This record gives sequence, structure tokens and C-alpha cells, in this order.
Amino acid sequence: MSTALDLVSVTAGYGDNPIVREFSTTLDTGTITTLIGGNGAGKSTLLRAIYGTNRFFSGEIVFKGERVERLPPWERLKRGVGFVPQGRCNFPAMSVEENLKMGCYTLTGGKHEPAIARVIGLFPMLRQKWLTEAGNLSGGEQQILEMAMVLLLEPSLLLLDEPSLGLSPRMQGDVFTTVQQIAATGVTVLVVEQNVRGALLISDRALVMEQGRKFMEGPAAEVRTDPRIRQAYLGGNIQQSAA
Amino acid sequence: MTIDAVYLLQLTLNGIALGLLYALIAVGLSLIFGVMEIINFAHGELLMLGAFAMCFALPVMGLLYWPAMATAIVATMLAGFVIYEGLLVRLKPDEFERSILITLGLSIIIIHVMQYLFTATPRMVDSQYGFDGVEIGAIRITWTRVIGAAAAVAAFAGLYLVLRYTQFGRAMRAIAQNRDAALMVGIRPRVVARNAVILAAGLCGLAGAAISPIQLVTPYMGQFLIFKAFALVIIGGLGNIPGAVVAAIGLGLVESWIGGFFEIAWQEAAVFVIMIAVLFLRPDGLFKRGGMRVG
Repeated sequence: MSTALDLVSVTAGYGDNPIVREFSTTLDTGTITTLIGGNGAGKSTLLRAIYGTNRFFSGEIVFKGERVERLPPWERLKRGVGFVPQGRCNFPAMSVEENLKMGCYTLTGGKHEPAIARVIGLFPMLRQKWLTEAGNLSGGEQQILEMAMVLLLEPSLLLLDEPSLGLSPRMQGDVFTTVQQIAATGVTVLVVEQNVRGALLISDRALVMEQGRKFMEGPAAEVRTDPRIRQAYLGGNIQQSAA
Repeated sequence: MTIDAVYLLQLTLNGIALGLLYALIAVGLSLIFGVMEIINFAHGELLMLGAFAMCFALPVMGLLYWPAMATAIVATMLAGFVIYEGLLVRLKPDEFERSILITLGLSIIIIHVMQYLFTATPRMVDSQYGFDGVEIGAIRITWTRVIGAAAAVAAFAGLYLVLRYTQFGRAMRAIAQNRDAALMVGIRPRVVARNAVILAAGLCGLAGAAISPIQLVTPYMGQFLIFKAFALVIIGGLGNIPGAVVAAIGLGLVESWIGGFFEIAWQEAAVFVIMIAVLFLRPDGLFKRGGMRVG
């Protein structure tokens, strides 16, 4: 299996404050990895560092064999890194159509229509809400729209920050299924999830962060059954019967 | 007080023409605010530069109005580019206070450099249209006013189309609506901010060129305009472009009516009386705020 992303001792944060410290890991191509950790553990900060929207202090980010840690976000996007930030990350006063057109921003004119047709194939709901302003969509619909906007560019690495946040359990299931489908096409996915149980069930591997550092790493099935993880993130009893 | 209908109509038409010119300034200010989250207090000086450019270009171009106006617009766009690349590019979105001081300082510097170079003596600008006008019944309007108003309307139509239907303009609305999402789709904020400043400067250049044959051109002509334009942007709902246009035309009318029926001194105070009243009654302005809505 080839390596999609290599993080080597990454330290990143905001302003003068490093939040993620000396974080190293490797993601294999086409796998789903869940990033677990408490509030403020630095999960979102790590995703932002990989996409390049916060302050990078030190370390290396190697994407498809190339060091990208000093490149601006649009350059990383061009190379195939897609990032869907947490919560309502769309253009609320634009229609679904316009949001998708904005998603094509880095594509040349002729590629817009085929790209949009392709994501509508993935998410037919978007077609029905074509002229609705994004701000008037439900939370789940907005999440789908945002994923679609990034998938327009066919990224080979997809970073998802809390894709199921605020969704009904059924919508959460739909989002997870979608993520699985995307990964099945060869896309590497790194996902931060508050629904740890659901995310671990679709993941190949899991990373656990605490206070900005890597606390644990391993196959999702192993992490799911680790007593410390069950205690801290899976609420013990419920999980015992499921496992 | 009896109101003469012809006089009222004349004032109304003048007010609309004036309001359209205010709108050009306010819309540019709103555009820059939407994209950069700063208020450009040197905005009135861009208008003044446009007026001076018109003033110098007209004699060179044999008093031909349109080529001189095009020159003035290009000159202010160039000034906008220099201001952006020299100063504004260094501001981060959260540096609102710094932006006020820097653009306010810049405004004062531009005024005094212009005064040093060209003196404070007011200049009259003559064009191919001179003081000719169109007469509708008892009403007379000079061509320069008619053309100025028409050019402003055309500029708004063009701006609407650009913001609504091109990726170039849509990216400006996108940044105004959600900065993170703009980065998500690969928009380069600095490129879009630069475009917005140049576009806004062009609108100022148009306004300056249109205004110069109507009123005297001096280095100070833009000084108080910025405060009016700022008030209009707030009254129209910060970041709401059609809101700013409506507020600007409203102001033009109010100023014209007040100037026509009351002591002229009230004219300048009126906008701020209205602004304060609006801010107390509707703290977010008259229209929906934000998002750089275009329709």
C-alpha cells in the first residue's frame, strides 16, 4: 500500500501558540482514519495544519512524496488535498448552484459542468435544492453540499472536520456511508468525529490525540476495544454490548 | 409654504443624480468592507484623484468627455492598485483599528500632496458638453448631469452582472460570506481583495470624473464624502450593496430637497441626523446586513 500523507513531528497552532506538538503519523492511500480526542485536544488544528490555514511552526508534511508544509492552501488543494472545515462552511447567501460553481473556482471553465454533474450523481439531493440558498438548507444538507463542493476537485486526500455534527442519527449514518463510498474510489480520508463509535466502525485506523500530542494509534478495531478509549470516548457500557 | 411642482421636480432630478454619485462611492466602500473587513477612509481621495485626472485629461483630449472619463477611471484604478499593494495588503482581516488609522492617514497625505502639487485653488472643468443641457418643459438639466447619472446607472448594472454571474465577482461575495469556505474552494483572498480595491477605485474614478464638470475640483472635495459614504454603508446595512445604493439615492434626494427648501446649512447635517436616527431605530441599518447580497 502506498503512502498518501506523512506527518513528521508536526507542530502547529495559532498566533504564537503551538497547539499540536510533534505529531507524526502516516496515512495509507485509500484508507479511512478517524482522529479522536477531547475538546481542545488539537484535532481541528491538525487538520488545518495539513490544509495550511493556520500557523505552522515546525516539522514536515509530505503529501504524495512532496513537502507541502510551506505551501498556501490553494496550492495544496491543487495537489489534491481537500478540506471540509467544521460547521456550516458554505456561502449562505448563495444558491446551491452558485455554491457548486464556487467549488469549481480552481477549475477551468470547460470542466465546471462535468464536475458538477458528477457530484450531483453522488448527491441527487443537491439537484432538488438547486435554487435554495445554502443558509436555508438543513444541517445535513449543508454538510452534503460542503463535501460536494470539495469533491468537485476530485481530491486524493479528504480532510473532514466533524461531518456529522448536529445531524440526526439517520443523517449521520448517511454521511458515514458517503464517506465509505468516497474512500472506496481510492480517496484517503482523515476524519475528526464526535460520533466516535460511528466513525470507528467505518475506519481502517484510528489516531487518538490528547493535549496536542499523539496518545495512541492503531487499527480502528483495536482502538475501539481498548479499555482506556472505551472509558474516555465511548461511554463504557453501551459499547460493551456492541463490541 | 407653497411648493412649486416644477421646482420640486427639478430638485428631485438633481437629487437622484447626486444620489447616484454618492452610491458609486458607497458601493465601492461596501465592496472593500465585504472582502477585507476594513473601511477605506482614503476612499473620498480616490474620487478626488479621479476628478483631477478628468480635469487634466480633458484639455489633452480636446475636451472629449468619454476618452477623458476612461483615462480618469484607469488612473484611479492604478491608484487603487498602488494603495492595495503598498499598504492594504499588509492588513489582516482582524486589524480593523489599524486599517482606520492607516487609511485615514493616507487620506490626509494624499490631500496635502495634491495641494502641494496643484495648489488649493478650485478648478473649473470644461468639457465638450459645456453647460448645454436638455429642456423638458420648464425644467433644464445640463448634459453633464444626465451623462453622469447614466454612467453611474450603467456602472451599477455592470457591477451587478459581474458580482452575480462571473467567478471573478462571485469570489468577492464568497469571501464576504465565509472566509473559511473561500479557502476551502481554493480562493486566494489577496488576489480577490486586490481586485475588489481596484474595482472600487474604478467606481470612485467614474464618480470623480462625472462630478468634475458639475462642481469645482479641489484637493478637499473628497474629504467629507467619506463620512457620508460611511454613513450610507451603515444605513444600508453593512455589506449590503443594493442597500447602500438605495440609501445613497435617498440621501441625494433628501439633500437636494432640504437644500432647496431650507437653509443650506441643514443640508450637510441632514445625513448625520438621519444616520443617528436610523442607528437608534434599526441598529443594523435599514436593510438586511452582510453577505454582500446583490439581489
